[in-house]
Order: sequence, then C-alpha cells, then structure tokens
Amino acid sequence: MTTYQHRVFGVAVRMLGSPAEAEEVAQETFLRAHGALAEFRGDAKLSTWLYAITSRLCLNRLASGEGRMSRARAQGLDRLPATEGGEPGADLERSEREAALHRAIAELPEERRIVVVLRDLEGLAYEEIAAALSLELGTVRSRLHRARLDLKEKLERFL
Amino acid sequence: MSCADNRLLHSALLDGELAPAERAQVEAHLATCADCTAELAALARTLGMLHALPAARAPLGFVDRVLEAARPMPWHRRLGRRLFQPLRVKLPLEAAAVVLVALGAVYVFQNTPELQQAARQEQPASGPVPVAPPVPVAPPATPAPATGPAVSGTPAPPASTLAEPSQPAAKTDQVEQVERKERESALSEEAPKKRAATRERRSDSSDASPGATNLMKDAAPAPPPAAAPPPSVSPPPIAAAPPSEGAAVAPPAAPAPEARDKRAARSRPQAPRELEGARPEDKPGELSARAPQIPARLFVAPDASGRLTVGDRAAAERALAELGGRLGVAQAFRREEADGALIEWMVPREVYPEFVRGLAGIGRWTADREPASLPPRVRLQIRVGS
Repeated sequence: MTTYQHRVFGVAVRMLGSPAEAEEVAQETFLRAHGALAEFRGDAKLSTWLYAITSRLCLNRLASGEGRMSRARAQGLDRLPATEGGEPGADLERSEREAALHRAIAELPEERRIVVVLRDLEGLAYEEIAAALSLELGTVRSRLHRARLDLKEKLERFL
Repeated sequence: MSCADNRLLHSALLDGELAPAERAQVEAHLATCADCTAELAALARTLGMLHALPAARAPLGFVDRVLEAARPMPWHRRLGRRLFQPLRVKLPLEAAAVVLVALGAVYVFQNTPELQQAARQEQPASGPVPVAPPVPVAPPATPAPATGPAVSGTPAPPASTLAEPSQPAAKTDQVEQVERKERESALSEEAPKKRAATRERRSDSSDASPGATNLMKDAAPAPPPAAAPPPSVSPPPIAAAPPSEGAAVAPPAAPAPEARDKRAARSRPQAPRELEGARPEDKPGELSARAPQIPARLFVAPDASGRLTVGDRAAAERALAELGGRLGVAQAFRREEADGALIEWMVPREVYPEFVRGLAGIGRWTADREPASLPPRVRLQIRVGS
C-alpha cells in the first residue's frame, strides 16, 4: 500500500480534482483491494488491478455528481504541488504552464481524461490501460490520440 | 498515406506502440511533409509538458488512516459511514428527504380525519386523568311522606301537589268537614281568581287544572284534596311549617308568590270587576264563554237563593245591574236556563238586607233559601224569570 499510495491517489486527484474526495476514493480502493485480495488472480500486475479499481470508483463518482465535481475540479487542480527549484522567472512561467495544463486536463471528457492520466501521468502501457478500463486496444489508442490533440490545442501558446 | 492518416498514428509513434510496418510508412510520409512533421513536433512538446508534471503525492498519514479504516468498525460506525458518507452528497439529500417526509406526514394528518380523531383520543389517555370534582347530590324531589292530616293552619300545598296520587287516602270525617268548609269559603271568595288561574294553567299545559280539579272533586264523590287555601285564616309562612306536620311538604317556591297575592287581594278592597272574576284584560264576552267551566260549583249550595219574577226580564236585569253597582255587589255568575236566567251575586254581609229590599223593588222576590247566619260575603243565587 505504501508503494502504490501515491499512484492511486494521483489518479484519483487528477480525475476528481478534489484532494479530499481523492483521499476517500484512494482509501476505498485499498479497502476494496484488501477485501478482494483473495480474488486477485495474479495474472495481471497488482498496480494494474489497483488502477482498475481506482478508475472505476472515480468514473462512478463523477457519473453520480458531475456538476459539483466540475466546479471543484479546477480549484483542486490549481492547488496541486508545483515543480520545485529554478529561477523565479522560470518558476513563474512553469507554474503558469502547469496550472494551464491542469485546467486543460480537467476540461477533458472523462473517458479521454482517464486514458491520458493513466498513460502520460502514470506511464501505463496501452494493454494495461485496456485491461484496467475493460476497453479494446484500438479504443484506447484513439481516445488517447484525441485527448492529446485537445491538450495541444489548449496549450498552444506554451508550445 | 495522407496527412490525416499519418497524424492519427503520431501518438502511437511517439509512444513506440506502432508495428514496424506502420512505423516505416509514417516516417516515410514525415520525410516528405513539413506540416505533418511540425504537427508531430507540437504533439511531442505537449507530451513533454505532461511528462514534466510533478507526480501527485498522497497526504501525510494516508496509510495510517487506511489501516485504521481497514480495522473492523463497530456496527454503528459502519452504519453511520454507510448512511452519511460522503457527507457532501448524502447529507443534503437526506435532509431534503427528512423535510419531504415531514411535510408528507403533516399533509396526510391534515387530510385524514381519522388520524386527527385518534390523536385527540390518545391525548387525554396519555396524560394524567383529571379527577372530576364531586357532584353534589341533589336532594330528592319527592316530598317527605305525610305523617298526619292537614289542618287548617297548615300552609296550603300547591295544586299540583294536591293532585298527586301520594295524597293520604284516608282522612277523618272531622278533617273532611273542616276542609269542605274551607273550600266553600274559598270558592265564595276566590272563585274569580281561581278561574283566572285555572285558565292560565290550562294554557300552559294540558295537565288537569288544579282549580277545575278541585271543583270537580267537590262535585264528585272522590276524596277531596288535602287542603284548600283558607280564606279567613292567614296561613303561616310556608317555610315555617315543619314537613312532618302537614299532609304535604312545603311546596316549591313557585306557589308562594301566588299565596301572597291571594292574601294581598283579600286584604285590599276589591273592585267590582275583580269580584266578577275577570282580569283587567278580560273582555265582557268571556263571562259567558267561561260558563261551561263553572257548572261544577252549582253542586255546592249557595248561601241564599230565590226567584225574582218580573214582567220584562231584560229591564229587570238592567235594574239588577244598577242595584249591584250602587251597593258594590259583584255579579259572579250568570247562565241562561230554560225558565230564566240564573245569576249569582257575591253580596257583602253589610249590604245584604238592602240588596234584598232592592230585589223586591224590581220584581216579586221569592226567597227559597235564607242563611241562618250571614257570612262575610253572601253567595246569592237569583233566578230571574217572568
């Protein structure tokens, strides 16, 4: 749990935008994993299994309270920790760029956002994403490409 | 390969997810297309920005909280967690649900009379039962049983009491004689008032009229009532009479004013109209109208009677009326019969001789009955005929 706590929490907070809700989802993820540990077959990575639980909990929560989550999401992402170090001018620019990136991710549709988060922020392979989200490999590839194109358009002034 | 097809594979190309054949085709197009090359470079910079984002870290104490949460919770905590968490979602919904249920309950209660009635019935049952104040027991309305016969000094019971079947059945002859004498005196003096009272009582209820009852009892062989108001003896106050002495218990307060009125009427000089038994509001025609009620008194012999033979009966009756008016004698009764008019006069003892002499002046007076001793008011019956 110590090994995966940051990854699980990272997926939840990128998806939900609220650290408090992300912690609740992360706790629920580990509690469910603990309760269903006997059912874990071992043919998949433990991380993929945990990502699968987290992604399902986040998508369910978003589906149950989309409007409220959307309002809190931008504020929560803006408060995420910024990259440390560097010159003040460069830090300001980097901070602004990161904030713009957080907002761009938060504005993605949920089905695209989860793919980008799992791939570009958590580094999962296409196959792992397809297994975690129970999607076809081609669906993962197309959703990921569209999500990246959306981000490129929104972040064009920083490119 | 077109530019659109080539750009669809840029993400997979950057991720190294393309098959070697696809990778070769994409790279061949990029070598000849500057736009697609620039597009790929922009996408690569976007991915660089994403990869440069710092990784989110779980808050401090997260693992401890998860371990704490993994421990078996008491049932109430599990229930509360299941009911209220997440608070932001469930609490407003549950509060709204409680308000809706409360409003619904109030609505149902207000629109269901059975529930309101049940609530009213349950309310006194739930609280302490109030102790009712003791109700004073009313004294029995029936008079005390008579222990002895009524005497002349006993206050007269009300007529309604006289008519009750609880009267003593047997009386001594002496008492009956005394009572008969008193009744006769009463009839001679207070007959007009009794007739008026009888009419009033008959108009109030259909019960037997006390006055008529007395008169009928006088005529009938039935046992007479216990007592009649004595005309000459002023009875003591009703309340002063002990209940055990009289045949009837002191009557209710209602008859008392009547007795006082009778005494007052006896004490003051009576106007001729009052002696005639007519109330001030009575009309002249009522005397003959009341005739059917009176014949019972004819069974009681008058003090004096006689026949007045005249030539002109109408003129004789006018002369009689003038005579009575001059001497202050009241005509108490008149009835037309086959052989003439039967007129009864209540003649004061002082003017009785003069009244008889006046009769002789009107016509030929033949006395059938003369009183041995004159009572204060002589009841004189005159049969006027030709």
